[in-house]
Amino acid sequence: MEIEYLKENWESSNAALERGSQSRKNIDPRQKTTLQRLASRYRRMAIVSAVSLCWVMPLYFRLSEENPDTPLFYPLVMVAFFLIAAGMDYWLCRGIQSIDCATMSVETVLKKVYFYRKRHIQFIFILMPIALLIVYLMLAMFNFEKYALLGAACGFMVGLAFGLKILFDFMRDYKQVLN
Amino acid sequence: MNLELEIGFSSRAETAGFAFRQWRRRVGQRLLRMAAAVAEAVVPERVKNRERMFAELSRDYAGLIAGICLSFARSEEDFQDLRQDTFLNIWNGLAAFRRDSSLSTWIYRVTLNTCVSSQRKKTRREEVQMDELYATLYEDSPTEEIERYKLMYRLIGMLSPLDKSIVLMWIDGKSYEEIRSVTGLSRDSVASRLKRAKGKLADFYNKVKND
Repeated sequence: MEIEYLKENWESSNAALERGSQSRKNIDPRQKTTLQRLASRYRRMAIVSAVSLCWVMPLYFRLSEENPDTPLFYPLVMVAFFLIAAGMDYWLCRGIQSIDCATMSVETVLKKVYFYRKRHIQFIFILMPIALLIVYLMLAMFNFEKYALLGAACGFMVGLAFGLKILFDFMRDYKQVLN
Repeated sequence: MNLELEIGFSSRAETAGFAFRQWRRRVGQRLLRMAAAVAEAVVPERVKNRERMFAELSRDYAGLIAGICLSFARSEEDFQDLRQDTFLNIWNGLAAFRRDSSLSTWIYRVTLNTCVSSQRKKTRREEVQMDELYATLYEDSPTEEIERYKLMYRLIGMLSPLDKSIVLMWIDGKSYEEIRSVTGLSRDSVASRLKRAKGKLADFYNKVKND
């Protein structure tokens, strides 16, 4: 009964939507789709990460002038962080751009979207320890001063809460979508 | 023609300047006409075909596209974004459309792919917005019809995106072969998922009716 219900109402619904004025709003072909905007965002972040490499060594040399004991390890960790972030964002950008809604099947698009979304979250788990290490090194440069420690702790708690929420939401959606 | 007498220029320099500007205007107009003719000859058959085809598709399939987007949308903003993205993907994909499937099957492919690539959860506030959206989209329909459509979208909305795609094509009368080519599943998978989806719909329908 319910399938017949759906069939009858689907046809009349589409006919009503066809008649409605809302269906015919003008489309601006110069705009980008959601996936194109996402790819642009990844590309921008890759460029920002790559450009950020430029200030790491000058900062190290500047700090070395005041404190000659500053280890070379500090800037190398930052360089590694930005290189990995730039590479990951570029890879994600290319991946999202490869999704073609006009030629691929629905299952392929679904799998690709969730694959890249999963990789994005996995990359965060790769970058997070390096970011924490950088925060630790910067605290060390400030000699573990009280307020610096408090700020770092607050930022860590807030970031952790947001990250876990996004992770659990994603895993729930992932199971539902490909079920 | 003696410009000095006709127009009253005071010097030969002004006369020459005026003549030069007239000549430049005529040459410019001639160049524009030539450029338009070249553009008309070289580019537009394909571009005109694409524009014509897009205009026809927008007119003939607007209701179907809106219906599919409404099945996946979580809010009015979502619906408008999905519609916009779908038409943009149709415009971008028209150049590559090889006519190896029917146009309506291709429209289903593009619309469903656009919708499944934008999935997210619905909040309570968005449920209220959807009621207002239905009232706007079905402005010419009586209230009882709108309630039936809301129940239909509620039933369809309870399925997973892949099952939703299969059910939408099936209730629109598409064959198993067309559903198979759009979803990318095997024929047996389509049949088994459809059977499972019908069972879920029956349960949802009874639960909603009892509520």
